[in-house]
Amino acid sequence: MNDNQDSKQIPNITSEISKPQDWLIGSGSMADQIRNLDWSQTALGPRDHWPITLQVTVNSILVSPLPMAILWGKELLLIYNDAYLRITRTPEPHYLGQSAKIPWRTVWPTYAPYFERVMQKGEAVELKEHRYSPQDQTDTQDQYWISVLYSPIFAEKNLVAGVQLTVIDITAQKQLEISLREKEDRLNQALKGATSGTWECDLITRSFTFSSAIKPMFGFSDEQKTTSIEDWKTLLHPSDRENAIATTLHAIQTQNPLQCEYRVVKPDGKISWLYVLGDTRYKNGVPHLMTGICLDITQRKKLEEELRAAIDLRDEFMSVASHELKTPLTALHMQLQLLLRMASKSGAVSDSKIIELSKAAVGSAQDLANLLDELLDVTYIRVGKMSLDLTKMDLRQSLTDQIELIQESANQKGSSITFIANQSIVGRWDPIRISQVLSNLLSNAIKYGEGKPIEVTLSTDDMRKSARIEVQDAGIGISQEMQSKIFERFQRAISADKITGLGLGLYFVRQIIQAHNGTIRVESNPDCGSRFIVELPLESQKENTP
Amino acid sequence: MNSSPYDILIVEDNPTIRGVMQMGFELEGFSVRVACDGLDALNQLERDSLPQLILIDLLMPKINGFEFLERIKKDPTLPASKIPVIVISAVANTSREKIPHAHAVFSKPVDFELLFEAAEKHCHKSLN
Repeated sequence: MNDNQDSKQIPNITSEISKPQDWLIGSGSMADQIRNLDWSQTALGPRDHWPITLQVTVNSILVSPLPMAILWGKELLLIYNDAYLRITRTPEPHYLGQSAKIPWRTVWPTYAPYFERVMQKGEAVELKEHRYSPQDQTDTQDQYWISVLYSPIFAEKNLVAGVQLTVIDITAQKQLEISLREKEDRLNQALKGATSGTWECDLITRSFTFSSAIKPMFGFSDEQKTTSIEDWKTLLHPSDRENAIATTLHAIQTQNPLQCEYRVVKPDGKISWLYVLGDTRYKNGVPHLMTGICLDITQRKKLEEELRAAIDLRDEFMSVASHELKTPLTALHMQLQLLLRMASKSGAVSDSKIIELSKAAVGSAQDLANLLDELLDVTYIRVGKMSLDLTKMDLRQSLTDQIELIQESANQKGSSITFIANQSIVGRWDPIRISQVLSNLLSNAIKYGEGKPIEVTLSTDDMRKSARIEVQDAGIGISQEMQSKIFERFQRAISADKITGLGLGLYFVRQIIQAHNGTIRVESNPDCGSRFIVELPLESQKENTP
Repeated sequence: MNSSPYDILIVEDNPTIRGVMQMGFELEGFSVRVACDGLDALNQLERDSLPQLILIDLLMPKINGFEFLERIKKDPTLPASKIPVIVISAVANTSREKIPHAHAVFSKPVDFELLFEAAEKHCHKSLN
């Protein structure tokens, strides 16, 4: 585009120059404005009478792609080019030939010293990195950055006849600079936190220097400013040492950024997990300096380990649960198949056999339902943390309700339940969790109670600081060895021959009670029954367990 | 069905599954004995007359199905080592390759129809 315009202009320029009466060259709108203005009405007088110096300068700014202007004479009369008009957004070219004092009156104090100095001393002056708002523009988005060069225009006898302004738009560079600085500020801000710091390693003198945030990561004292590569190596965790050194050397040799994680053993024996990033600098191909940052990721590693433990637990649970679910499902499937076979052999099978098998099938379906209930309970448990919804509740009422709910299954097994509670005991607990505890203890007593009587007692201690629940059965009991295991996950006191379930019940019970700052223990002897004793403070001190 | 019924031993720790298996085979005319684990089964084999077929679960307390098979098959001169064994496994996709001593392997839940067929075939072979 520009090339085309230029080539078209050449004949015009030639023809203009050939006319002796017009010295003005250049096209563009400013050239036209200057050409068409009646200059005799201005302080500069008719164009043909202008001094040669001014004519030459006007021509030179009109052909310049840079924003340029002329301030001529003591009155500082204005002439400017198209680019100048664009950058200053001077409303209209009617300021042409007028004193700059008129359009620039509002900003006069800012700029006047520069061109006054040029006029007086005949020296070029530069206004550097100036933030400029076009006239009447207060919106900061419309601001930009300029540098302005004010240079003298010399007339005869080296007198300064005017000032030539060249404006350089540095907005783009300035914005880049500002964004870089903001990024740097952000990085510094991020590094200010106690968990990250910067380091530098002189590969020639083999010494490390580091920012203060790194000191606690390695267990350095506040006074320590440097360490050697050899000392650094000895601080590395023995399991990570070889790999950390090899990774660092590899980064240096391959001229790649260093990125590595390792543990250090601090002088007090504590272990930090560090994440290290670094960059190597080379002089004539020889590595001489490494710089980088170091982040303390001990906390993150701890969380990762907890997460991994949670995943392992889930996998273990899934495996146990799917096996446990498969057993009653298999039974049910086979029972139904057999019922179908019996039906197809009508007459050959006695009704009592069919009824017996149907009852067994219903029992299998019930086993499945019970297991699913237990699975649903699992969703209330989160690894490591159980949140409680504490509210004022009456433990005697809660126990009465739970006993009523379980009464029928006790009757089926032939167990009677006696409940002894002299008074209502009110405290702040989580009602849903507490009912889970009570229901678990009661159903265990029925499950393992061999149809013998069950006794439930509720009391408080002398100080009325805590409630005490005892659930006593007269069933198979628990061996000394198993008593320590029954509160662990996936444990059952006896073989699967007699009892189904996921083996999570007492584990949950203990989790819930501990979350309430309470305790649970068991007293038992094989074949002499078991007594489970729960102590619950009336007011839990904290709402969550760690 | 044969006039003198086939004699089988079912080894299964879960009482419900043991019960339904027993009922099913009895309904088909088998004479059924049951054991609640591998140890119980070994004791019965020592004490009582030998069955024509053993049906055994794999995962059981005391002596599991694998160990039971090892024990009865280790001495080929023992009469019990000749008894065909059908393994009924709760482990999905248990293949015969993994249990070399088994004459057939079924995965739970089993198809009774196929199980009866296989049981009858092995009892027949065992008798002749």
